[in-house]
Amino acid sequence: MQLVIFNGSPRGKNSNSEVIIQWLIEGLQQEADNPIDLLYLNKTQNHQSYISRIQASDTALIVFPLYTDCMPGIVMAFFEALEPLRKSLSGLKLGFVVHSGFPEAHQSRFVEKYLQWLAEELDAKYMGTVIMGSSEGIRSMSSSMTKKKRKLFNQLGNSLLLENQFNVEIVKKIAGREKMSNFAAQCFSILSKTGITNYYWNSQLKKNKVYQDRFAKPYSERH
Amino acid sequence: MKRITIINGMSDNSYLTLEHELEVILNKNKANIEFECFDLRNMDINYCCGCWSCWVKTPGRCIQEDEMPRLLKSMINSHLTVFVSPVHMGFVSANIKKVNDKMIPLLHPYIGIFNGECHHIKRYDQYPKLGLILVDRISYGKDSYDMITSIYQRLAINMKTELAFSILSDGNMEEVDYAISHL
Repeated sequence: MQLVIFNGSPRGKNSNSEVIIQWLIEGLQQEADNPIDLLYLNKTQNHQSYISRIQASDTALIVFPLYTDCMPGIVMAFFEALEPLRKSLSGLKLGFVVHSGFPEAHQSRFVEKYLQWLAEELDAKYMGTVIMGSSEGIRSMSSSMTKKKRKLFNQLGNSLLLENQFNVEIVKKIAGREKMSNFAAQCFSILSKTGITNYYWNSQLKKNKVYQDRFAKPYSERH
Repeated sequence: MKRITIINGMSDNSYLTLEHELEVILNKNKANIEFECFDLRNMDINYCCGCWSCWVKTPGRCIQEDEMPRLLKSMINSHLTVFVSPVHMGFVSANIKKVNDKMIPLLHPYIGIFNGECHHIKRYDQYPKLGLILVDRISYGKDSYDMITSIYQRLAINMKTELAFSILSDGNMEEVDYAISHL
């Protein structure tokens, strides 16, 4: 397998996407040393040169965080660069990993439809889209906190190597719940009134000494 | 007086008819509508780098020094913000997507539950309705139009507003005319 992985995070090497990619690579390299090309879409000046890399591969994975309900602008810039390759990548297997800070898989289902369409438009074989919620902060979490997710992505990478496609059961496990249950949503609403759900944001705001400005409306002309 | 912000993401000058038609509609309503147009061809806007400074370091402001604050100020004080975009590879252009990504300073980082889903809470009291005008020169067709529209409906939920219209420019501009005159 000649595999190319694109990291579509604007944060590049210092991203949650990179953590997920490394987990996948651990799984992919369990059996043998596979040549893996890892490229960064935040280097937008390199997009044209990435086209030949995707053409030279038989499998491509594109991993990105959900940005305003879809792909980040840098990933769209790369998709635009692929426009001349419409209906010309029939030898390529193309899969995606979309992750978001929201807990529900549902949030990423809308871009998933687009990604399937994109693979078909390129004439590539669509391997599927792996959706992962609650991804924010995995880059700074301890290994014990991410153990389960790491194992699932290790297994996904390994299944990709052995079966040449995403394992549907693992994809389902990674996606978890489509939406929050009514009970969970109610609990969250109650907890949010105590401030517990904002703990991460508040600690960052306090660390940066701007907690008191957190509700600033710098652009409002309505007083 | 109602306010409209137009964000023109057309990448070249080959579709000036649409821009002219839009100008006619806006001028027709000049007596009761103020409008501000931004042409992304002439603007310096960087991609969002995901640093979240706008949420935790400089609340409500992006730390990048580009022209995005002009857009944000106009948008948040408008009643309707219209994105005009060519359809590239079945979606809006990267130029328009870049602007959408950089709208997050308008929201607060805190998460609330809205209709049973997690979304960011409001930073401002009011948000503009959104409109979308698409120019599909490669004829990606209805599938792509439907996907784009469904994603902008999601964006509207997140931006605490509604998608007032989403049209393909090869259709007529009646829908835009109607939305603008009935603001």
